[in-house]
Amino acid sequence: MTPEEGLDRLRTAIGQFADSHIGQPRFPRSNKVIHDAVWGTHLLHRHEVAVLDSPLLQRLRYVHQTSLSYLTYPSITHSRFEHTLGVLYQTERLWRALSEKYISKEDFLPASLNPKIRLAAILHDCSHGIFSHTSEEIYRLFPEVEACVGSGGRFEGMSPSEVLGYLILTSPPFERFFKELEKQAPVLEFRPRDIATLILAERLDKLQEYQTDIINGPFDADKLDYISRDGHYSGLPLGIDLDRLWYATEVQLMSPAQVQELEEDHLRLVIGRSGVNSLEQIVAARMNLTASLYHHHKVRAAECMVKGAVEYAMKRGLDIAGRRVETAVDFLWMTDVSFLADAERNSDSELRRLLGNLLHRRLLKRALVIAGVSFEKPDETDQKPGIEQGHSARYNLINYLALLKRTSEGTKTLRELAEKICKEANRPCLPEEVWIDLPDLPKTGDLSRTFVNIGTSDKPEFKTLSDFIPLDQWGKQYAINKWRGHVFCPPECVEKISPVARNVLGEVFKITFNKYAQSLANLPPQ
Amino acid sequence: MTGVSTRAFSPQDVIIGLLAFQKEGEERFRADPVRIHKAVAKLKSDERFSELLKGLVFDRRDYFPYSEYLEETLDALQLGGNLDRTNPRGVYYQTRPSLRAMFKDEIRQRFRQDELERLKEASSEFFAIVGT
Repeated sequence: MTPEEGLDRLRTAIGQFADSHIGQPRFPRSNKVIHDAVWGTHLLHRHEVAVLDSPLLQRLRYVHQTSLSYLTYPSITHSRFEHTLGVLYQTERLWRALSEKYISKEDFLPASLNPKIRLAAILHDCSHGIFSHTSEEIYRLFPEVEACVGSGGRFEGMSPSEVLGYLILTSPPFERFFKELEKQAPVLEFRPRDIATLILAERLDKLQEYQTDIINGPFDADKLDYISRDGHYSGLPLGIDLDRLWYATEVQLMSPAQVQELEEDHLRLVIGRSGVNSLEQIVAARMNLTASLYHHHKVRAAECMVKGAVEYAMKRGLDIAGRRVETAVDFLWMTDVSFLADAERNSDSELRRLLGNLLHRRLLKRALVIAGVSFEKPDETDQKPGIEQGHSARYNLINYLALLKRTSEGTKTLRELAEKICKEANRPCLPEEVWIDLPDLPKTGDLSRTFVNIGTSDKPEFKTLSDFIPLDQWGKQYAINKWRGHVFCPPECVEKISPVARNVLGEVFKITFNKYAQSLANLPPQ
Repeated sequence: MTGVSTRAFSPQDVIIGLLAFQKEGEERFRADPVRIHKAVAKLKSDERFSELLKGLVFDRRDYFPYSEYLEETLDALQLGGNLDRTNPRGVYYQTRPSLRAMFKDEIRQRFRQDELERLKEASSEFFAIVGT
């Protein structure tokens, strides 16, 4: 499938979804005040309430921000809707901080810009499917999505969810909705496409890039909210000095003379030197959340169960949450609620059982731990000249881990391996209940895209954040010492699956698992 | 006739090949992500090398093209002990002998002879852009 064919297919499916979920705006009589548990009270204008009241946004009340992590951290039940309000709040705080700082520079911070940025904040997550990134992990491998964000297309390398958001906001139903909105809100001096471009972070006009940076940049309002919010509701203590960050945020014109990698002038959001510590706190908080929350083995197991239920339904052509899953957009028609409700109402008894396990927290368990410490280094006699002891084996393992998941072919290989494990263990459960789970390693790309002004406001000089924060090395240490992949299966099958997984994966990766492969999962050594 | 490749190569094999073909006696290059990603993206857009690098996807929205896959490959090579980031300032990557050995023993045969020649040419351009 070509990128254009993939895009056409997505556009058609999005058109149907938008037709059903947008409709006409319903205006309240006055502005509204909403109270948020994390950031407190904020004011929403009438047209913003009309957008929030659309089915497109209301469905986000029923999509959990952190997928199924509430099955492990009971209080982390907040929704994408709450996060949306939080992003609006953070956008406004950044805006206010910049407005105070650049009170005399109306040319790049005109009052008319504020409604556009606020609306982009409200709409930035309108395309999230069920269980947030869990459904994205499934549909990013669908052919139309792979083609659309693959090599050579306009959306190459972009996040599938952002592309779906762009397509929603540029769809005819949203255009019609926006026209109605404009009639009662004359402050909207822009087009829906302008918001869509901000959310997609296309950065077409380099002299308006700071606007994109607020919505989709290295330290955007999205990150400022989700890190604080996920920390707050999980109960994990994270200290972030946002006051200092807002204060230290600057808009700076950067030229190729100042930053040799640039090819033209850019007007960007940068952080003053005094804000580096706050950014470092954000980076540390994200690492902490990754280790303790997003990569928690119970959270990962629950996410595999969602994938398993979807895989079971798709293989057999069954409806799930009232839909046959055929395109990425089908996940936008569902909510977490409708998905889990199928535990009681789906016509297929096995699918009811799989979903019931999620609903009643009968989670998959670890049958094997794949980690830097969980396999033996090969004998020296096995080594080829020039290859250091242990390195080849570890390379083969990490090679698989890092890259297999990237493509549908690689994911297929992993699923075939899981099926092989299930089969060689004499099928004690469904293949859809055996998962080789390999969380992503922490990414460091953001640091090279975040600029720090090490000069003054008037005579700026720039470095990137990667010069200040050794995240690259942190990431390696995380991968070596903390990262864990797992083989998951139903609790009653662990005894059968565990030794087979050990053998099958050992053979594929050309390694011998040691006692830690079991003991890290609290299993007796084999 | 230029020989027949025994197996399809992956984008990761190409990245390892780029590094393994570094001039004998030279083992380090600048660990600057902006230069590295820019260099590989430039090679990909060059028609001489586009076929070799077609599997690499670049996000081109920001001021330099960025490939998660390339980043992950460099991470994997470091975790495998095939590539070091020299301390304390981390300015350079240093390839270990195991990287060349791995290419020679495991990866090289996935390429046809003409592909290997092109890879060597791409490698030389890569290091010229990135700096050693």
